[in-house]
Amino acid sequence: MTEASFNLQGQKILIVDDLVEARSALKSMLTVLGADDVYSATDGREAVEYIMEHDFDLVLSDYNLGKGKDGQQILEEARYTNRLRATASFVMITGENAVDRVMGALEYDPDAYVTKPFTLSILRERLYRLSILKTILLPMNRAIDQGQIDWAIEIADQIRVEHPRLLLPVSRLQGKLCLKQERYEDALEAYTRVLESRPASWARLGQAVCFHFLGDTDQAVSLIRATLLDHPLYVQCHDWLAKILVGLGKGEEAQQELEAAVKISPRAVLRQLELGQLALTNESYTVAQDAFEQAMRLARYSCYKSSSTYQQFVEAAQHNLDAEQTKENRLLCSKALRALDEMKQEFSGNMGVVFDATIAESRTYQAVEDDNKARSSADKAEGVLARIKEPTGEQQLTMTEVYIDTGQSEKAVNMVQTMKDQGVASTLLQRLGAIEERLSNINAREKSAELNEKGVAHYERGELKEAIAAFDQATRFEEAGISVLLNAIQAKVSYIENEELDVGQLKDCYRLLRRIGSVGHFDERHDRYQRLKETCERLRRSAGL
Amino acid sequence: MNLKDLAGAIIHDLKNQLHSVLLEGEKAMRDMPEEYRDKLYPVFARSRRVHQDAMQLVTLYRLQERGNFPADDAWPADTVKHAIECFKVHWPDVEVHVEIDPDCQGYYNDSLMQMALTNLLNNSAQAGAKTISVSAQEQGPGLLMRVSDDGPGYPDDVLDGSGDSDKEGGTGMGLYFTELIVAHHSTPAKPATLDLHNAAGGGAEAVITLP
Repeated sequence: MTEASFNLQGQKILIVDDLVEARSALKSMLTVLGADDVYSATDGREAVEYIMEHDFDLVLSDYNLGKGKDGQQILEEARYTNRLRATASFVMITGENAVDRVMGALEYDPDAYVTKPFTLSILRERLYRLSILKTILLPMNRAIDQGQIDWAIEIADQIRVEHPRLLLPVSRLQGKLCLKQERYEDALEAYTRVLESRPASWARLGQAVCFHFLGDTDQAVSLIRATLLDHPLYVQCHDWLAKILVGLGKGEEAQQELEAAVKISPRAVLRQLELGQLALTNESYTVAQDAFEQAMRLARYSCYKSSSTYQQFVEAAQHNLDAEQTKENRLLCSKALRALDEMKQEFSGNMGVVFDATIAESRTYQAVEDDNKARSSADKAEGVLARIKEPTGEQQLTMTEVYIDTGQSEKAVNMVQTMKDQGVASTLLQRLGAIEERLSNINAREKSAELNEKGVAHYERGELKEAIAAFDQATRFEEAGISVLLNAIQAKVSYIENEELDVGQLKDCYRLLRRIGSVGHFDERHDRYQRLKETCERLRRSAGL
Repeated sequence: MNLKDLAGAIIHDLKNQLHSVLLEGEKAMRDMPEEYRDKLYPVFARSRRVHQDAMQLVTLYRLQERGNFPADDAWPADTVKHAIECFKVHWPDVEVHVEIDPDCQGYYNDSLMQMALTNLLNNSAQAGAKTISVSAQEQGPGLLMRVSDDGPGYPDDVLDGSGDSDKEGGTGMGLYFTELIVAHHSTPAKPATLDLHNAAGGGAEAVITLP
């Protein structure tokens, strides 16, 4: 084949551009080049649908597609799902501003790119050069399509020796495959070979990634930082730097890198998800909320759609919510509830997801302290759980926690008992232990309150000894509140004043006062505390102590 | 937004609009009968010229803003061919001889180098050359490209670096732009150079050496 005889006849081709003139111009150029089987898509969603349905030989996509997915995301989905064979080609069409973004991708790089504006003859030559390259790489790409990656790497070695001019494309592919196979030494060799003759940024990043996997993290970080100095917009450098920093336990720094990457290229779902998760661990809830919100929006029509994105968004939002009646709070709360409604709808066939969404709904209401609605969502969750044939231990524990949070500790106690009867997986024991501790605290508080009531009743009937006995029991619980402690003091003081000066009781009063510590001026119990304290002082003086 | 950024944004938009005009024009030219083509051609040629100027301005702006123009495998035969296509729109009568092996390969930014070569061709034609020769050869890992003409040669002030060679009708960016593009291809190990001189037998000669 010569350039003049280059022909696209019989090839299944997809063109993607959001602008009608650009699409028709490209289509007519391809027709001149002999193409007779051309599909066109106007946005990323349509493009991916076509790619899922047809086996294309060639995809030509504009990088910038206005709203929705960009060309890079189409490429990623096409390759990620293996719907576009390795032997098929993806050509990215870019404005001159985006060339560096397209060229940098280590994992999902297009087979060729054409910079706008281009003429028919530029397109013809690009496609012709690409067809020559693809023909030479055919045995290697066939091996990739058959999943024989190590074999493909071997073929690459042969091709490189036979065609030294193809050093760059072959080494790039080889590096990528070696990384995939975790053959880091070999990948490093491929990238280093490129850098010996060409200062390609992707090869520098590739080298850094190899150093990272081989354990030389410092070298990796400094290499990436140097590359970023030359190319501040090289988004994959930020991604890898973040990944490495996380490994070093530098979560905050890693988050900064991902935030920089998201600023440069905000449309990648996976990157937004990674940022969200990292920010959640770093407790940067505003960043996490934004990232998950973007991810939710971007993933809506993609292969990355997942219920956990919705859930994580709501989880982050809950941290940013409080009981204040502000406009922001109301907006955020309804946004979170909308996300949960969508989650229930999108995954309505999966009761586990519906359960998670309903639980999250209850927790969202808890965050804004709307106790009634939190309780009614908890009831709904209970209903959903009842419809799950074999609920997991995790679901049961979650339900138990929400019972406690919505003031239904009896149900919680019953659930814990049921779980224990069924047998609890060892991985869940720690969580169960925490729940039991919470329940025993609640129990103690309730007991203490009960004894306190008993004490008050005795006191009102003038049975001071009995009252003191009840309050002494009540205050033995660590959870006893200030009012209970004050009641106990009151009973003892009355006893001393009316019956006898019992030094032991007076000492008790001081112990209890110390336990209370101080009560602030604005606390409604302040006056009572102050009065009792003064009475104790007076009694102490009159006792000559 | 400052004036410079505003100007940059406007030129960028202008360039995109012109590109659409050109695409429509190209399509119309293909579809229309031969006799009308000649009538439309001057309009088309002028539009392309304006578009090229806008492209240069945008690129110049981005080069100065330290924009990134990544280099990649590229083929001088293709690059030169497209530079000549651009050139021929305005100078259909100037002859250009090309001596480049189609397999000759280099490592540069294709769009930038095409602009640099178009500039050198325009330069020669503006100076009065009737025939221009372009050649390219691999030199180890590097590349050598030569543009020579049968014109009067570079004036002294250009050769000693004190003046601008652009003659009337040019955009005033001329060789400066070409120099910037070539310099952009320097590596830490080896600079990229643009060497201007007059050939012994007369005529101007520009030699681009890429590492």
